[in-house]
Amino acid sequence: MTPNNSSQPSQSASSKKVDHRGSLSSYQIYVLVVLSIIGAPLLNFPRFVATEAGADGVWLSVISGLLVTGFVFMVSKLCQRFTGQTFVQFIPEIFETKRMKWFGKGIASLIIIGFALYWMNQISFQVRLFSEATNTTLLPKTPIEVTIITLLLASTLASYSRPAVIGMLNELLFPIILIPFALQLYVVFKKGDWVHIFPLFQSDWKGLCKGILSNGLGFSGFEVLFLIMGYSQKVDHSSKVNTRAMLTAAILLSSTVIAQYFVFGVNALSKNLWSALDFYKEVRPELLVIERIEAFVLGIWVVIAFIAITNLQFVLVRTICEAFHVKEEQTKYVAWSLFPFFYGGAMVSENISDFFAKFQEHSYVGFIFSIVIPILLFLLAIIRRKRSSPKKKDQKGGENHHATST
Amino acid sequence: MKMRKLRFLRDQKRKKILEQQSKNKVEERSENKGISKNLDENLDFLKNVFGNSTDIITRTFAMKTPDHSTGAVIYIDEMVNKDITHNYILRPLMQEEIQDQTDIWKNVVQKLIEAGEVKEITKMKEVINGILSGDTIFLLEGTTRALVIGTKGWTTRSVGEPRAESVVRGPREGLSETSTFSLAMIRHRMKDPDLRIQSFVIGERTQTAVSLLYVEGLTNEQIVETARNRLKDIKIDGILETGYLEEYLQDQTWTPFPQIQNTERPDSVVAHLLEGRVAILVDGSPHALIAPAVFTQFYNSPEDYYERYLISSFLRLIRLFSFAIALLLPAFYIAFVSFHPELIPDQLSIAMAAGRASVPFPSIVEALLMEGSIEVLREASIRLPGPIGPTIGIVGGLVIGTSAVQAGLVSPAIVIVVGMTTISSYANPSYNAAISIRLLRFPLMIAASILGLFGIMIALMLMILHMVQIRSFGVPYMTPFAPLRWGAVRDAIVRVPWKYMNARPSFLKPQDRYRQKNLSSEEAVKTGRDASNDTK
Repeated sequence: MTPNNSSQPSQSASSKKVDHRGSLSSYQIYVLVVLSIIGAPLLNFPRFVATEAGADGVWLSVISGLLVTGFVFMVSKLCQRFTGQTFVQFIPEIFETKRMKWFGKGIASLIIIGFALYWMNQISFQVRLFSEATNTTLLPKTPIEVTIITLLLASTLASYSRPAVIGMLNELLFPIILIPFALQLYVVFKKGDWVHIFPLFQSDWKGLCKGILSNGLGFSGFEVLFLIMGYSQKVDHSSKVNTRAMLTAAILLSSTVIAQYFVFGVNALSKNLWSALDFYKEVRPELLVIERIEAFVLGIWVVIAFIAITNLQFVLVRTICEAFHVKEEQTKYVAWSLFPFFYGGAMVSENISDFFAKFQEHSYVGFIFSIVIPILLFLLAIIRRKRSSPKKKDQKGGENHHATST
Repeated sequence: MKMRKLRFLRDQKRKKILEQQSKNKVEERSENKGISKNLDENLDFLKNVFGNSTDIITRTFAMKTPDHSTGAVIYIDEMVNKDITHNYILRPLMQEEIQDQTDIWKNVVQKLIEAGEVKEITKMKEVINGILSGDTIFLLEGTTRALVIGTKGWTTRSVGEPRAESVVRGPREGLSETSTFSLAMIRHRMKDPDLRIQSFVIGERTQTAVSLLYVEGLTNEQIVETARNRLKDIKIDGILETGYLEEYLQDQTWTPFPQIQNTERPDSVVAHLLEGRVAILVDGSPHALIAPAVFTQFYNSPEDYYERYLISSFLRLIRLFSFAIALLLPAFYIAFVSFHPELIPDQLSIAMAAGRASVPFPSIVEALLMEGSIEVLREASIRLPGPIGPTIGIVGGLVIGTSAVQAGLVSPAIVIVVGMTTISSYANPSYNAAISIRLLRFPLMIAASILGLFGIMIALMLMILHMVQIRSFGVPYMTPFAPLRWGAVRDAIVRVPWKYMNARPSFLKPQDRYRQKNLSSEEAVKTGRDASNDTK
């Protein structure tokens, strides 16, 4: 008594191996990259930069942004060589030899495990950070566990969606996340003082290198490209799109750093745990219904946190599914089985200062890993002239761009 | 140089597409075709042109002439005055005897046809126009001429004003329960031979006539095929309303969001057909189903296209604001009262606290009590007979609300919140979309009562996630925003002037992409983006 399910695309899709190639448009990839980068850094990045790079953090954030943009260009070029393939598929190809295929697979497994651990660390860090900020500002009486579990439940529920759905979700939420950046300008014009950014050029060479590295840490998240480039519709222009995305993220984050330097100055900023929240407390818009603007901004940051964590979880879940050839309908089991690890990771620290110290150590290691490995892969791919065969280059049409998919 | 080359290639491509579309148009095919001497050939041609549409009646008969010449009368059912067609055209043609074999045609024109308006024609295009206008056509074997006999007279007695979709400016006609009347209303508005009406009989016991309407050469073939297949797949004992079909045709069952639009307005049906959608009519229902449907469509009124664009855009923004109020205001009230009183201005916070001082319940119970009461009142006012319904609404709203405040059951602020929410939910032009918002308000209220603003945001994120997962006939529900289609955005939140809406919605992938064919390529680019370049 029901219509044949064959006419219902959403139901029929899961019954067989689903090819997600060509699922994401260039714009969706652009948005995905931007939103994966500007998650947690919004909350702690300016303070971190002030602590690590001192007064020179203002211009070092711009330099780091440009350096990472160049790096993203290289990653894009690497992925372009393997059209329609994710890093899970192309890393073994780079390392394998005709005689020793197992060698490629072995090395690839190590690298993939490395990335997976790095992303797990990032997810736990972001969940804890946003939960702490939420509890500080909005829910002071609620236990942190409740906030962490709620945020993780929501992001896990989203993380096993199809790539096309994740692309559309990012696309839809992107305009909302730009609101705090517009408000930032208002705060700077009202309370900012350009004297606060001086004196510049105080660091020696060692300090500058440390500053650039610490700034670069704020731009981590671009590694999602390794996976999502495999789902891209238009690979030919992807390096341009990805570079633009990285530049956008760099502009947004650098502007946040500069704005907070303008308002607080380096000393006050380096001592302020929740500088991002205090930044918006500086002004009280008299004409608005909402009295405290920082709570409104935090409401939007919940959106940013949700989407950033979802993106990272999505990439991690898909990586595991691809590595172990998990069927589409079983993706959700993978996503839910990771839940305790994220929760455990987020709860590993007793207090917030311990938490910052631990995770930033791990993040440094992870970030260096995510910089060194792609350079190695890129050079090896060029030297060994590795690229995908022409047959694999044929992209399947994107499912979210078809009028119908019966 | 490169740009010029690209522009040249784009113009060539567009020209080619337009030429192909012109070839496909039946109207263009019949432009210079004369009437054949062979009656069967003429009838076959018309059958081909109208694509076996079931409302086209062809009556072939033998006349009382010495050689028993064959004639045929063609008209659209319910678009002609049947009294004239039967008694003054068919009856004399079939019963009156013609002795003079040499000039049968002259005898028919001068003696047999007893209608006032008779015109001789020789082109098939004139025959088609005559049929579509509600005239009756007479064709005779062995003659290259035809008669157009004025018999226009579709039934309008049962036509009433659409109750759920009233407009200030626009047609007052609503679809009828008799699908043939409804089809005539649509045909009356759309004199395009490419309009196809495919009939299905659904319901093993009710044998209900269901019509699938689309415009050949315009609507995406895949959408038509999907609709056709899904209709064919329905196996049920009876169909009494379009609601039965809606649940069978939609892509996703477990969702509060409607994925198929329904309308009572024939003008709205035609507008959607012209955009590249399909319409489904059910005999016995005054509603038509429109598919595919996207989220923003449910917040657009047919009147948006009749009023000037600035007014329409303003009204659309008001509706979106109302949507946000209807969905979120009670949840925000609970969040502000229970978790974040410091977020609202101090004086307002103190006033709200004072109002709640005597209320013995937490804010969620207070809000659920009031929202529940309003839902009951709303349901009661709809079910009660016409004159009593509004009275119940006023009595319920004013008397019970005031009494509840005085009794200390609820605070004055919640009465204002619920009042604003109810009024805002009525601003939605689509009844079923408004109901879905009413439903979703409750989970948001519960989320707000548990985790305040954080809970609302998380619940909203999950709602948005659900919405991007929905598809309607394969079209993503949140189009044109996700996936982004700039060309269609101009008719989503606001409406740009008509001359800038030359392109049909690109996400429907219409075969005929432009409304105005005679525009130069530059004008076409200005007034509507090329669908192929529509993805940012």
